Amino acid sequence: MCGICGCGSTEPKQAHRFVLSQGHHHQHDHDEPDTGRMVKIEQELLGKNNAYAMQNRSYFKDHHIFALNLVSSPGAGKTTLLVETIKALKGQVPIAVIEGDQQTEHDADRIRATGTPAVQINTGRACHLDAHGVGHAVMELGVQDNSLLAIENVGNLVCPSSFDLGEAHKVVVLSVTEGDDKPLKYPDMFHAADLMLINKTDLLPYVDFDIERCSDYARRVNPDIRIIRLSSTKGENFSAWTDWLLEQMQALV
Amino acid sequence: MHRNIGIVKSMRDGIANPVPRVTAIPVKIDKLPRVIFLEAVVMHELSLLENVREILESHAQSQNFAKVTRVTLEIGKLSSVEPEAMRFGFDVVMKGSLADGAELVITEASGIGLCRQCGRQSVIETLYDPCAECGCPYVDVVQGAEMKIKDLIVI
Repeated sequence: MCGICGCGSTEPKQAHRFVLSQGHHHQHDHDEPDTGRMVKIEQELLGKNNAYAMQNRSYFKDHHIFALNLVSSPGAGKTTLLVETIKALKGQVPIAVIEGDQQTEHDADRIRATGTPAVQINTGRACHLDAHGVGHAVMELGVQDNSLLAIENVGNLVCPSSFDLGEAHKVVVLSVTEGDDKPLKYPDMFHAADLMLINKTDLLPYVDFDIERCSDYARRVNPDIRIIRLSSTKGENFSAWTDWLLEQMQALV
Repeated sequence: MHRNIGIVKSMRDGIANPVPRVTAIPVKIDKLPRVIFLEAVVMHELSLLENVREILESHAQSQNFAKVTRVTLEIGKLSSVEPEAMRFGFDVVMKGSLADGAELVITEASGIGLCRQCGRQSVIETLYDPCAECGCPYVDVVQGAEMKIKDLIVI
């Protein structure tokens, strides 16, 4: 490098001439800096995921598979909801489950214990399932035609809202132990969901949770959201949920 | 300005008092974002940035470039993306790629909602803002959910 001006020349210093009145003069040429050119892209950041999601969606359509993407914060009761749903619909519709967690097979084991096929996706570092991984899981599971496919996403009320998996609906599960202002705190998720299940209603007497306020907040974020309140463990109003599932599946055929 | 960010540290006082204690450490707020973003926010934006890198690489051959010096993203105000977290993660994700050292420009598209009651459009800052014209709480998003790469400066 030129030790005087730092211009990158490897020529000896003597090759430079410095004339006070003219400033610094070089005998070697500086390369004209390449200012570059503009390339228009106009591409969605999630374009690749969306393309996989479209593939999944058309596969589900061709095979009459009713796919749901279950989202919630950790501990809202998604897995228990699924276990109880499987018990309630046994013999009525074939069910398959994809479980998403950062680590462990625990949730898939709980589903398999009911005799239902389940695949666990461990996302590792990632905080959400993506459409590519779900496509592989569907193939691995060998989901039967005319099935209900429940995809239990990673417990997280933020990231999974942006990632389409090809599902028919996102279903957000909110438990009454979490606070009724969650729809305003995490609006993206409630905006993306078509159905909100307010779970653990058997605990309402012990917590400060206002169902009406929560429903109002959710509708402000998403005027079309459907809301069902239930308790998976105690069975309160659980049939409202299974009736909705059966009705939706009926509409597919 | 200090704020308690609830960093939880468990401490043991030895055998006499073996119960873990929870201590909140006050942290200076201007030093805070990096720590918070790393743990809580950046993961989501990291995935998106990885997509940015893939998109750049997919265009390099067809558009005949070897280096990207500027990336312009359009991020809607109502998208789930935090521009600050994108800026923070950008250099890390682009390291070693065509866009190593590139400048990141983010243009924010404002949120616009269409009122279900009066049918007029108004600017909304959040997904739950009411219509600015009539106050109706039910508003559909017509602009502001964008997450796009607009253009690049390449060499």
